[in-house]
Amino acid sequence: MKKLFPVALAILAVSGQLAAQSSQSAKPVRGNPPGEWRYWAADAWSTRYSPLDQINAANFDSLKTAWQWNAGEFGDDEYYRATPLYANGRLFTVATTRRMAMAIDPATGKTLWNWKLDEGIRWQKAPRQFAGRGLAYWTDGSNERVVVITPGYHLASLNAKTGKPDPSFGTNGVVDLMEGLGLQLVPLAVDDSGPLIISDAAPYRQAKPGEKWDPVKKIGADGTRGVLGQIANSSPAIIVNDVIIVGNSSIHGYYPIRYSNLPGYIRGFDIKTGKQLWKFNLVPQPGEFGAETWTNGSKVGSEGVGKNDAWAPYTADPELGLVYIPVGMPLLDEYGGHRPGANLFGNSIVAIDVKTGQRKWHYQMVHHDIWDYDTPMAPNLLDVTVNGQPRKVLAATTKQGWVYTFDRATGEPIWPIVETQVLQSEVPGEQTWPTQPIPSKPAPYSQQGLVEADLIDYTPAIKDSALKLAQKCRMGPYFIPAADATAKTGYRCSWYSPGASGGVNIDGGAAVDPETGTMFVASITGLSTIQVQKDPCSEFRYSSPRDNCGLIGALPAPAGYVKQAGTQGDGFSNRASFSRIGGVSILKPKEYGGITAYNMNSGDKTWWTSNGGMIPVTSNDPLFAGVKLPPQPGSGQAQVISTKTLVIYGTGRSTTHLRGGNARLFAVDKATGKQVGSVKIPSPTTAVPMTFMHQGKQYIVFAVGQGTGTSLVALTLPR
Amino acid sequence: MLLWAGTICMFFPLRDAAAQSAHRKVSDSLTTRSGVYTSPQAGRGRDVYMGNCRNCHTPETHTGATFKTVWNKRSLADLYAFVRERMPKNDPGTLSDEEYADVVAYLLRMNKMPAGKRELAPDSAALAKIRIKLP
Repeated sequence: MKKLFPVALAILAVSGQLAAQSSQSAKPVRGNPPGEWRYWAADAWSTRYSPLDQINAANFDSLKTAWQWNAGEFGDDEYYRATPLYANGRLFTVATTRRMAMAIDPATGKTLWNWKLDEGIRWQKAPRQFAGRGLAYWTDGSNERVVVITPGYHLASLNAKTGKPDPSFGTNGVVDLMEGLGLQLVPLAVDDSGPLIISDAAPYRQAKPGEKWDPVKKIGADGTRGVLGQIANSSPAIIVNDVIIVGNSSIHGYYPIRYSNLPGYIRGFDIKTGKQLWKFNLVPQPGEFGAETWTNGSKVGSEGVGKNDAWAPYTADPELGLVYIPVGMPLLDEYGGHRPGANLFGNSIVAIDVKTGQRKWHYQMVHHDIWDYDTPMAPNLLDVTVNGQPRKVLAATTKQGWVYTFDRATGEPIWPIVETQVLQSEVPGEQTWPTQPIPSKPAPYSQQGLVEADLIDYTPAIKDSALKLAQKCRMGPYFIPAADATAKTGYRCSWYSPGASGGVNIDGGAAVDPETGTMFVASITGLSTIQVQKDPCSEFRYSSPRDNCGLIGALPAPAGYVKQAGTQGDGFSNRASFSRIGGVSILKPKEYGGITAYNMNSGDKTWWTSNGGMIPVTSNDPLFAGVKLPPQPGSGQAQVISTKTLVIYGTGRSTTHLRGGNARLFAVDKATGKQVGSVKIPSPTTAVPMTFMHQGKQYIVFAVGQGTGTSLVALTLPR
Repeated sequence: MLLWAGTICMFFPLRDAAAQSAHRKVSDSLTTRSGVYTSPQAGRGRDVYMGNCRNCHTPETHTGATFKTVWNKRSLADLYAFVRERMPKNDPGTLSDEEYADVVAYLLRMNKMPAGKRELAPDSAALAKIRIKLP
C-alpha cells in the first residue's frame, strides 16, 4: 500500500486535472485538447499520443469492459476499420458498408444519433464499400461539426450535437464530391444487381436516354448522377484552419483491366459553406509541375494514366498551414510498362498550403512503383533535436520498410536519403527506374529483399536446401522487380519483401511520443514471391496472374481461348507458398515487424518487441531433425498508440496465435519496450485504438469484428 | 489459373500436402448436395468472408460458371486446402482452421448447396470424402 500511495495520488492529480481540462475544452495542443482524441490519429500531427496516465503499468491488467457498442446492429461491414473520435464529451464513429455516422455516449455506449445517405447505384458500385476509418471533427468554440465522406463520394457536414446536416453547407448539408473535379456528371445505370467486382468489371455506365429503373431485376437507371470511372473514399478528411482537406481512393490497383482510370485529387472545402476552394492534381496535368515525369503523357483519360490516389489518412501542421498527403501509386500495381517515367506524385509525400492549394514541397519515395508500395499511412510529426539543432520533422512510415524523415517546412531530408542503383526488370515493356531513394537512417523495420545471408543456416544441409529454394526466384537486397511467369528463359518469379502488405500498412503504422521524440512503428515482415503474366481479357500487357474473361467490362476472349482452371481474383494465390521448407520459413527470424522504437533525435533504434510475443517453431521434416528451431515473431500488424508512460497495442486482425478467445490488448513500457500488462478482449482489434478522459475516467476504445459482428469495445478501470 | 499453379508446382517441388492433393479420387456417395454444413456455420463463414475476403473478391466471383469450371467434381479437401494455404492475399494461413472451414461452408451456401445438421469439420481426411457436385 505504501508503494501504491504515491501512484494513487498521481493518478488523482492527473485525472482531476485532465477531467477539468476536458470539461472546459482545454487549450488544444496540436489541434487537440489534452485528454481528447479529435483526429483519427489523436491530433493534427497524427501522434496517436495522449498525455493521460490514469491507466498505467500498475493497473493495466485490471481493465474491465465498460461497454460494447454493437455496430453490426446497424448493418454489415467488412472488417471494422474505424477509430472513433472523442470531442467535447461525445464519441463519434462510422459504421456499416453504408458508412453511417454515429454519436455515442462515452460513459454508457448508448447511441445518441445516427445518420446515413441513400446513394443509389453510386453506393452499389462503390469501389470501397465499407465503414471507412473514421470522420473529422470541427468546432469554433460554439458550433460543432462532424464531417464524413461516404462510399458513394459525398461530403456531409453534420451538427455534432444532433446529427442533423448543416443547412448552410453544400446542398442541405451535403456536397457531391463528383462535382468540381472537371469531369462531366451523367445519369448512371447498371446492367447487373451486384456490387462492383473488384476490378473495373461490372461497373455502372452512362444511362441511355429514357432509361428507367427496373425494381424487379434491379437494373437500369435509378436517377443518380455521377462521373464515369471509379472514384472512392477510404479515409476521413482532415480539417485544418477551417479548410476540409478531401482526397479520394480508387479501385484496387491489382485488378484493373482498362488502360486508364481516374486519378487522385486533393481538394480544399470551406467548413462553413462547403464551397470548393482549390484542387490539386496528384497526376500533374500537361503544363503542371511534374507532368514531364509521365513520358507518354499524363492527361486524364489517356492510356496508362490513373490512380496516384491518396487513400490513407492525412496529417497537418496548422501553424505552418500545411497538410501532408501520403500518395498512393499509379495505375497497376505490378506492371508499369504503359506509364514510363517516375510518375509523380505517386508514392510521394506532398506538402500543400491549405489556404491556396499550392504545393510547398514533395518527396517521391518510390520512383515508377511496380511493387504496390502505396504510401499507406498518415505521416507523423515531431519536434526533435538533431545534431544539437531543433528540427520540426515529418516521419513517413511506408510499406517498403523504411522511415523517411524530412524537415516538414522545407522537405529537406533530415538524414541523407541516397539514390541507389537497383535491379532492373526483365519483363518486356517495363522500364524500371534505375535508382530508388534509400534512407541512411533510421534502419529498416522490415525484411528487405532476400540475399544469401538472410537464409536459415542451422546446419549445412539446411543452408543448402534454403539456398536452392531461394535461387528459384530472383534475389536481391531490395526493390526486386516482378518476373514474367511465362518467361521461357530467366526468372519466372521474384522474391517480394516487404510485400504489398508492408512493412507498414493501413492496419498498423506509427505512434510517436512528442515529449521524448520517440517513434513506435508497428509493421509486419515476411517473404513471398511475385510474378506477372498476360490476362487474356485485360488491356494491360502484364498484370498479376489473373483471368477476367467473361466479366462485364472485360475485353472479349481471344480466338481459341479456353478458360483455365482457377478462380478470378486469385492472382496472388501462390505468393507465400514457396518460402518454406517443412513449414519453416527459409528466412532467419530477425527483430523485424512487431513494434520498433526509434529515437528520432538520433535516428537510432532503441527497442523492438514482437506482436504479442514469440511463437515456437517446430517441424516434422527430417531436414530439421535434432535442430532446435528459434521462435518466430508474432504475425500481423500491431495497432499502437502511446500515452504518458505506455505504448498500448492490439495485435490486429491478421495475428495467428492470439485469435478467438485468446485475443488480448497489450501494454509495454514506452521507454524500454518491456511488456507491463495485457488484458483479454472479445476478439482481436481491427483498427487502431484510441483513448480519452470522460467524467474523470480514462477509457480505451477500439474496433473489433467483421460482417455482422462488428463493435466498439470500451475498457476502463473498475471503480 | 490452375495451369499457372501447376506450372509453378512443377517448378517448385512443393512439400505441401494441399498442392499434392489436387484432383484426388473421391467417392460419389457423399457430395455437397448431402447437407455437409450447417446454416449457422455458413453465417459465421459469411462474417469471416466479409472481413477477410470481400475486399478482393465479391461473391459474384465465387459462384456460377466460374466456380463450377474450377471446382466441380473435385473434393472439398482440395477447396479447403486451396483457401487455407493461399488466402487471404498476402497473409495466407492467418485464419484458424475453423474459420477456413466456415468460409468453405459459406462458399457452398453461395453456390446453393443445401445446409444440413452437421458442421463441416476442418479435417482434410473427412473433407477428402466429400465431392463437390454443382448443378
